[in-house]
Amino acid sequence: MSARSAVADGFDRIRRIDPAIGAFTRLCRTRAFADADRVDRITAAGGDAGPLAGLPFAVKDLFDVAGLPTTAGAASRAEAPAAQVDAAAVTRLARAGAILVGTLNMDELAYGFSTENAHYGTTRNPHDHGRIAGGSSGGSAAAVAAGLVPLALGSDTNGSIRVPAALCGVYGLRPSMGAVPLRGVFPFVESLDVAGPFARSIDLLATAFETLTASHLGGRDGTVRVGRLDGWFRRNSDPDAIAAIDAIAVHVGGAPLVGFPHAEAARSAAFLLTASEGGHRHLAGLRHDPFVFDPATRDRLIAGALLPAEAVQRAQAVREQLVPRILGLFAQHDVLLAPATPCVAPPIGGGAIEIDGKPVSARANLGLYAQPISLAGLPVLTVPIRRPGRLPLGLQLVAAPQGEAALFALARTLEAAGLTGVSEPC
Amino acid sequence: MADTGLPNSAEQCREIAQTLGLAIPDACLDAVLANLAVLERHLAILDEVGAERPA
Repeated sequence: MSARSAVADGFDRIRRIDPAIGAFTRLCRTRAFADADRVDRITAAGGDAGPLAGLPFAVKDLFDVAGLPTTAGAASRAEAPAAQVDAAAVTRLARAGAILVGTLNMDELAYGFSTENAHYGTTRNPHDHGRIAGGSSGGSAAAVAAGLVPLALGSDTNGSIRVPAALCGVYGLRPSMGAVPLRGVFPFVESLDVAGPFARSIDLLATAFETLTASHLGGRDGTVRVGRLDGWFRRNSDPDAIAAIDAIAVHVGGAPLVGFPHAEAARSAAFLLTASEGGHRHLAGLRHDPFVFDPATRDRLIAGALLPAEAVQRAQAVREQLVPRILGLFAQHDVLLAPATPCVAPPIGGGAIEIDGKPVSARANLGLYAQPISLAGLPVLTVPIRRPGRLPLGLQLVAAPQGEAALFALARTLEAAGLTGVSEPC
Repeated sequence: MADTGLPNSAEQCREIAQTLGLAIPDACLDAVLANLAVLERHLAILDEVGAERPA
């Protein structure tokens, strides 16, 4: 199939399917067909257009796209000056032959786990249109799950790739800190932010990772030593996620339970650092016109800005104390397993999930298993548990920094065994 | 002020916001206080690590 045909088919699918999903915020038709024709010319001349030649992709609306304002999901940025050049990650995919077709919905300013955006609408879960897609990269996960694009980019500060990947039933990678360049990505919390890909196949995710990082995963010798995160990560979880983790343990010939040092405090430290940095980052906008913000974002940002410096220093101190202990877990293990979310996708507008028997905000708490891991900057591959006909659930495969090769090795083993894999929306 | 140093009343919120050049709209105050209560709970959880409070 020519790149032009692939792009035309992609736009046709978006036209037919996306109105019910709400994943896309803007389409790049002119650019996409021009890029497709360039790829087709190279291929027709016998050249190599790259490992992703002719593959359509889309990006969360916080990656710079030349000629468009980068909204970051905020109405206040709709009239921002257009980006002069693409984000570095977009450039790397385009140079590998991939073709940008549009931008994708998100929680405003990446602060949330639901992609219920007061300005750009709610992105619906392709597996059940009455449920959220997760966030903040909800448009990215939903677009891939619905088959609108085979590949999408998102960002992850506290779980914004992992939560929507799990709830939409696709693969999502939070790479090691700094592995994917963040030039041209609208920031949220600089000490936690990473950019990464979503895909429906582990092979494509691996190719995207190699392209984005200009690296090669290579083969991996020896057995992957697997552990199961205990305590916090088995409390409040959907029993099906725990059962899937335990089945993986059997499949790999044993995976001991591993304690994560002070997981709840690690999560709280990430929560507080995010609130403070997010609040101060957007202070100028809050001073100028607080009512231009999504109310759910605005009130969290204001509260974060009011945090005293002493509170932020305590969170930083906890981070400095815990990170070496967390990294120490990888002396005995290559990959640690944990649920990605405590539950399947909650209903749109439902607002609450139950944690420790109490209702809490879904928007703020779906990342309770993702946030402790963010604090240490670890790479995480989210894999969908194979369960056709049921709402998706995902698992986190967690490695030491720069341990992506072990993540992909285990993910391929699990997919081959039929334990994980993408299921079609019903 | 509460022991954690977080504002826990509308007056304290306004006072601290003023030092940041921020005027909190009346319509937002209840939600801001609710979010501060969440942050206060997270701050209390940090104590389990035994982190020393800076002098």
